[in-house]
Amino acid sequence: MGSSASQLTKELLSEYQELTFLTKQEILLAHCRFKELLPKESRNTMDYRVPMEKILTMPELKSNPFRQRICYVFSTSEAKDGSLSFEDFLDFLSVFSDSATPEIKSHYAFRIFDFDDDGTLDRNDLVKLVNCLTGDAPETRLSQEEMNQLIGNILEESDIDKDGTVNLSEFQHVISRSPDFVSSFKIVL
Amino acid sequence: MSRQTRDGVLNPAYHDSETLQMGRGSAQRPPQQNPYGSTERTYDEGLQASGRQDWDSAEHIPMASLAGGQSWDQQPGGLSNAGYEWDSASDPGGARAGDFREQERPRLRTKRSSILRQLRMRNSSLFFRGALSSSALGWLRLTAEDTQDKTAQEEQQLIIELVAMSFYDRVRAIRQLPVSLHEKKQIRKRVLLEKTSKKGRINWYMDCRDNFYLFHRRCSTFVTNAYHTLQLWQGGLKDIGGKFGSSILSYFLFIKWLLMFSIFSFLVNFGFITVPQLFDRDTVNNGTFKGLELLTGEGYFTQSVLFYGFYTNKSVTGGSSSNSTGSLLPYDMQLAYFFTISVYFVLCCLSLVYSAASSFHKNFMSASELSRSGRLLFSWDFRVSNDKAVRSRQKNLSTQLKELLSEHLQQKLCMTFDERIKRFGRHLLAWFVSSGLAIGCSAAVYFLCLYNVNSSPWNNRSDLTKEASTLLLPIVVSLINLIVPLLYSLLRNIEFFTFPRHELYTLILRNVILKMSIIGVLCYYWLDKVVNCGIPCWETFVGGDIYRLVVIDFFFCLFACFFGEFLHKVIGTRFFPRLGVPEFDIARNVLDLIYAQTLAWIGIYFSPLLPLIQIIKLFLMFYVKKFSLMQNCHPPQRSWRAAQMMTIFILILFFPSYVGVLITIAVIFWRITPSSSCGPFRGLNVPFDVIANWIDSITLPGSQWVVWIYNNLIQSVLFFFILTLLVLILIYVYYQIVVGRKKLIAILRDHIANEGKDKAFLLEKLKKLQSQSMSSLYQDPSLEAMGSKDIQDREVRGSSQSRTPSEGTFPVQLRRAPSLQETSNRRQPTSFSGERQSARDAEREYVLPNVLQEPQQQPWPGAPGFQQAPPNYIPPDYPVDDDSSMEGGTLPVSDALAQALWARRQAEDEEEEGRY
Repeated sequence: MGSSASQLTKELLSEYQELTFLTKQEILLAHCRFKELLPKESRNTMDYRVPMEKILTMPELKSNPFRQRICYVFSTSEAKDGSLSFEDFLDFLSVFSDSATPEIKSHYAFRIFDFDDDGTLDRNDLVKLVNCLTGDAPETRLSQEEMNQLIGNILEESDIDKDGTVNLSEFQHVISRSPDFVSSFKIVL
Repeated sequence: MSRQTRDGVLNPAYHDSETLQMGRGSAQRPPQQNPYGSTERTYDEGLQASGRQDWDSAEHIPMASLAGGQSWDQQPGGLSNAGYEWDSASDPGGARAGDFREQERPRLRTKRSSILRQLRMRNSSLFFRGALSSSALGWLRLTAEDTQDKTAQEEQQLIIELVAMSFYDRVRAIRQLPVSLHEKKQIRKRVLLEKTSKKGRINWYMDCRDNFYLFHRRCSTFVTNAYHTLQLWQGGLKDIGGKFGSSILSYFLFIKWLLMFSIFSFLVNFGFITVPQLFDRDTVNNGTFKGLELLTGEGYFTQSVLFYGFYTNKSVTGGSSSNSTGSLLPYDMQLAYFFTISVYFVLCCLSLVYSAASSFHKNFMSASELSRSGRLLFSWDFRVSNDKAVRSRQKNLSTQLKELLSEHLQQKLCMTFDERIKRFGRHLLAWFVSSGLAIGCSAAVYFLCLYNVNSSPWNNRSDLTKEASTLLLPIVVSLINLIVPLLYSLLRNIEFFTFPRHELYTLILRNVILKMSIIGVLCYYWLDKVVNCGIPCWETFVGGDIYRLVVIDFFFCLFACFFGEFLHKVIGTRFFPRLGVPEFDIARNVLDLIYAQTLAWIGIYFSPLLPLIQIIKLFLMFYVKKFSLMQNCHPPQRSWRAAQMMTIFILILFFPSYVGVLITIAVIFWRITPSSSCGPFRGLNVPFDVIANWIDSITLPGSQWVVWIYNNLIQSVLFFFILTLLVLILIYVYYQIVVGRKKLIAILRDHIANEGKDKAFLLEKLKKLQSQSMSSLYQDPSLEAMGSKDIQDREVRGSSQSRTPSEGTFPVQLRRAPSLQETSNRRQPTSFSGERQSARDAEREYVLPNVLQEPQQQPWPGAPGFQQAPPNYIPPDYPVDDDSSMEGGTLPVSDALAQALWARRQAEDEEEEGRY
């Protein structure tokens, strides 16, 4: 802990505290964990980006079906390769923390579920979402017919303006109606 | 209402409304167009040859009345920009209701919440700017400079707003921006820069406030940090969540919540009752400690601070009674006992009502509308990190979804009369059995109690066997609590519930009835039989009973963990694999906790330190349950609606449990004569007389108001009558507000649906007009290059139908998602006429008298349900874009759109008026 504190200056720490939903302890812990992901020689540089493959080895994300989406959404990398800098990592933890507001959580949930990054959840996104939730095994996959019916049901109740896709505000409206969301949209280090 | 909705079209601020949310998505994948393009084309052309003329003529209606002071194409990029603004218009929190009045933005800024809301709203567009793909821009004919300008403007605006805020609001606002940390940093830097440059103008008041907030924030971070360090079981809870998900986690969180409750009550009781008692040297314990007391609470413990009987009725002064003229104020034990207990119950009530109400509000009121499939889809448990758990979760989810879908189909099946009778009979039988069991158990407990009180000579308690025999009652009660619920769950084999939720609720209800009736019988026995049978210190006797019940219940919990779950697992894995690994039964376990808490509450009067026992019990229980869970159980098969169930449990904890305890305590305070030889209330008629005596003895001149309150409020029936009346009136008013809001919600929903229709309509028109105006730019090589990459891409993915030349050139605008095209291809064009009729019936028809020649026959595509159209749905014939028929595209795009929309709305209005 001592060595990590030496890297994060006091100003930086308080700035992070101000800008994220994390407490001081959580930021320090995140820093510790992030440093473990860095290669030995670059542990002292703050702006190193950890490649996505490395991030996905973390036990908290290892088996999450949305792990790659999470990386892509939080990555600010120019190359769109899903690599995370420390600030991206903090961002990720902040959104998934206890104290993040439901608005922020649902906003990012929407982006995670929006597989093609086009700003709406259309049929293809929903199909991918359902496939992620039910897993790849052939016995758990839904048949085409079931899928169509399910997505029909979803659109029927979430697509308020009836344009065939679920946009952000419709999604947030749905989320506000499912109380389990906020408690389950959490990842703790 | 309908008038209001129509206003939008005249309003320049309409740009901001959701109606024009074309979004990037819509841009990349042209949404509301005729997917049936080429297959229908020939047919359409034939049919529409006459209608087209009128479409076109409609576009030349002069727009003077609509211009309204501000022309739409004053915006950079014209109407197309509205598409880009989509995200800024979609407010994360509040897009549902109030934002139709976005044009009132400046006026709304007085309230902090609205500022935050708007900020969030505006800045969602900041975040999307990087992701906006070039093809979308190309389609909208926006240049990169346009968007950059726009973003820069928005950023500037945001920074100005942030600078104007106080420190606290600013921090909150920046934190809630949905942008990356890096951008937040930039924004913060700019704001600070701006602020320091304006420093001179900011008055000392703002400075002061900022300093105060800074201080406040430091304090609060310190407190939260301290709280986080103190957080109990953080790692353990994370493990459970990672392996079993939030449903089982909620059980452990409930334990934690109860533990906090107990710690609080222990601190209160210990601080205000026990500590002063320890200063009183008159009462001494001369018993000897043997060890069995820990189990029975008899012997040594009866003469200790654990029980009511030990407490004095005098004023404690800090020294021995002979030294009562000491400098310390006398501490009246009677008053202290009375007030501590009552204040504790009032605080409990407040906290319970608060948590029950807030959780009800959060989890029930708003959750009613969403079906289970939506809930299942959007609430994946991100906590779960164990690989095996993830896979089993996926499997569960898949089976549930499949069941749900088949349930959906079966729901329409009606049961015959016979089946209903049979089913009713089965439920009746089950209820008969379960209530019979409950009544039988209560009767057994009652007679056992009577036997106990008659046979046990309380004056000769030192005998070890007699002491042990007092354990009989608690053991029987705990056995009942252990076995009968298992029998109840066997009843599931008699009644076959269609919905697992009903089964669960019935099970919970039966268990609650059982537990509460047993506790009820015990209370009756204590307050009626024990009081009247001449036991010298009946409070201590009752306290001992409760102590034993609590302790033995704990042992049975451990016992059930070990023999129930462990043996089940061993048998299930080794001998009968059919039996399987036990499932952790959340409902039963939580009800056990509620039962224990009820006992602890009742016991507080008789044994003020009972919360200590409860703390130890809950603390150990956490580890035992966790160990047993990790070793023996597997997560529940069905999705458990954790949040809603927790609400139900808190409500149960409040309603039969807490309210019952309150009634018991009230009876004790107002009706039962305390024993005359022991305890703080000895010699009084009822414990409440303490207050009367105290009021009489008040002589201090400044405290007459206490006497007045007592005489005029507490003792006055009229006061309570008026209070009740006021509360009832309040309830009625709130009820009316709720009814009104429900109506408003329904209206607003209609409103959104209407706006959606407008949007679809406008998109259709826009597409048409753009194809026309773009065809005039047809030779522009730069534009062609911009579109072509995307076109090719879609060409490959889309179906390979032949297209008309114009569509082939700009297919980006004219094609739907491939999946839909495929479905459209499946249709048989031969059967269209009958199906068209049905489609017409199913949809609302849009009458456009000035626009279409055959107004009554023209439902327009993009109407609600367009994508969810039944497989045999034939799209309504729709005027096909035809460059030659448009007269040169002389009108600006936006004007023409507004005009068409206006015409459509007018037509709708007329139709509506005609209907009434």
